[in-house]
Amino acid sequence: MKTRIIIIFLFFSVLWIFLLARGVYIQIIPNQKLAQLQNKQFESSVILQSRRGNIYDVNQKEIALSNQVYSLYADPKNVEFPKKVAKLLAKNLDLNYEFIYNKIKDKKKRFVWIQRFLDKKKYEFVKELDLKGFAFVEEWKRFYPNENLLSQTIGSVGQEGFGLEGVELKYEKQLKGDFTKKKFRRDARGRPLSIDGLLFSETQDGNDIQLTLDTDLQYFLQSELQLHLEKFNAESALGVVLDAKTSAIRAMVSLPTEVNQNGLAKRQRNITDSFEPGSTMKPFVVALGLEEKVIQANSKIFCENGKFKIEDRVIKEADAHHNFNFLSVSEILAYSSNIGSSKIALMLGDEKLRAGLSRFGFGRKTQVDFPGEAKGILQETPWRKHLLANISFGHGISINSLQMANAFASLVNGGILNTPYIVEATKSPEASEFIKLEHPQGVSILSKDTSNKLKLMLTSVTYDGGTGTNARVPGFQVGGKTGTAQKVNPKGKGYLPNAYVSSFIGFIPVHDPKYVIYIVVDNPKKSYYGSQVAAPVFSKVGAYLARKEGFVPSLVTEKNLISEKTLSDKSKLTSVDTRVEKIETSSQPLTLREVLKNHQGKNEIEIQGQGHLVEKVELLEDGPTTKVKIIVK
Amino acid sequence: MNSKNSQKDLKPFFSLIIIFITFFAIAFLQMEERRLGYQVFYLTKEVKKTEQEKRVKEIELAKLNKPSRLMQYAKDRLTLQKPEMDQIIHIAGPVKTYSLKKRIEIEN
Repeated sequence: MKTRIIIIFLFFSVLWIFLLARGVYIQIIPNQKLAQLQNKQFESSVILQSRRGNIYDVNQKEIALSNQVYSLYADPKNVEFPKKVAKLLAKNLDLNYEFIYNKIKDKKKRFVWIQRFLDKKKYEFVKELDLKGFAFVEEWKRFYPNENLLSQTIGSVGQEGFGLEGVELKYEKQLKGDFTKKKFRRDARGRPLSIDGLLFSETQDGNDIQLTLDTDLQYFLQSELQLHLEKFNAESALGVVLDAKTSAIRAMVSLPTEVNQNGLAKRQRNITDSFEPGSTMKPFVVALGLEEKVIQANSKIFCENGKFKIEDRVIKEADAHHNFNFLSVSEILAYSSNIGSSKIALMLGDEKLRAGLSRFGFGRKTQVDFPGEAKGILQETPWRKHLLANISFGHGISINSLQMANAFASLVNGGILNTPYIVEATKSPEASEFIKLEHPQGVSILSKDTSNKLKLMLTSVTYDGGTGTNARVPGFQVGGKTGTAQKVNPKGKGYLPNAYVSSFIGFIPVHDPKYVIYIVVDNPKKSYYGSQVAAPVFSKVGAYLARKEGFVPSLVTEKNLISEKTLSDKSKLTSVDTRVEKIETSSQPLTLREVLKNHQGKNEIEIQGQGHLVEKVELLEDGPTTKVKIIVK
Repeated sequence: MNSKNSQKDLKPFFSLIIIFITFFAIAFLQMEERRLGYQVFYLTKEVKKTEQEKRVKEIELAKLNKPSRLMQYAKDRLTLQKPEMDQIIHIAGPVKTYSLKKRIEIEN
């Protein structure tokens, strides 16, 4: 009996020792496999998407912003009453019933998107329904407050948050930030067991970007171009405003902004498309002529009385009535003589002309920080004589408009060819200030002397008799060049009949050029001369820039000193002043706001001076009306 | 002699008390750590929510300030018109434009 008891005792003792040993093995001795199993039970992982950096204009106005929104997905295996749910969701999410039902009916699937980027109203509605098998994912969505104002330049972002076009694509690396995957333990109620508050905030957001573009200028240019597009019933229009000294792009418009019936894609055609520029090429030929000393500023060139035979072709002036005899170099530009520029090109020869135009950046990319740039066409030499002549007035060569504006800037800024750029500065999420990006230094391609001569010659284009009188900006001297090119047939050889590309390129102000403005109107139907179609847009944009930048007027006219209206208003006021009926007085100085509160909407108000405290209020009886003159200090 | 003995008898008792207090302190600190963890979690959620609201407001403000809307407002509500070229008098003095956010920063 005793032996049996001992055996049973030993048996249970061994069993206990074995259990204890197993317990020690599991609990105390480290075991990777067991640790993994444990972590799997308690740990959750979450992918924290970083915020895409914002894009601002030069004045730090918002152009592109990101915000978190919710996307709805379903786990069809857990969805109850799919038909009923699909019907309910279809009605409230503006989706098709079949579309939702087909997605959730297949119980084998474990994840299907129902709708991405829900707005707040829809999100709250679905959240309140608390449907089984449905859940939300937080995602970043891109917002463009200005809608299509800068859409072709900024580009767009795909549903997965990657840049697809424009600046969004070019600066993807800086903007996107880093995606981070975080693991943390959860309690029974699903709350993270962590005291690390940085868990949700330590994601590396993307850098903010500041552009060189000015939203207000962009809007002005776009609205003026749109008006002219409609006025002249044109196919499309382009506009570029460049900083003449640095080639920073201040505005860049390509109309129409939407894909239209002509198949014009929603792209920044100032950079991606090339075309024959026409006479805006002449200043470059003249500049090269002066630089290579084949002509002098005061040279007179015989313009063959309007007909110049080269090989088997005859070169004519753009206007059939023009039959010039001798023209100075300035006059060749002012009257836009094809024969004059052809003769200068012939003096230069094809090698020198090609090398010179290449130095200006034609036939190669400007290296602007924007994807998809067209380099244009500058044919290899040797050129036949008539091709040489054609190129001198902008045919047989193709450019993109940014290339033209940039090359023109070098003509008037002292001969420095810069690399145009669109991004001014970047800011990391931790930084408080934008840090300017370094841009390549400009290359000197023209002597300062030639540049100064060119500025004066181009000014003559806007003088009486010149082709660019419509480009004048009241109060300011401006220079520029008109261009009217026949439109190349995109589907075959030669040119389209009665189709033109009208353009004007100019700079303001003349003595110290700050801006280069290039306007191109494609295939205008009601008129086609650059002087009539494009030059007026230049004038308006130039005037706008002069006001915005506060340029001091260089042309003193009576209007600049004091306008007629102001004169008449002044005399009227003086006469009224003599009939001051009453002066309101108060022991305490009143604020402008208080006085305005008493008189606004009742009487005509005139405010004199600056400040917010009112010095004197004069009530002036002028017939049936009472005028209130508030003098503030 | 007697008091020496009683002190000797109390030593294990004190040791046990110290051990218990230590265990309790560890347990309390762990609970406190957890409580603070939850508090931080809720505060993080609050910060996230506030940041989200701020971003929504920023987008709304940017939409309200877009040039086309301001132009429309000036035309329709304030009955303003674009000036003709001959109505404009150019006087010197730069006019710098800033976003509303920047203006508030400057004014402050």
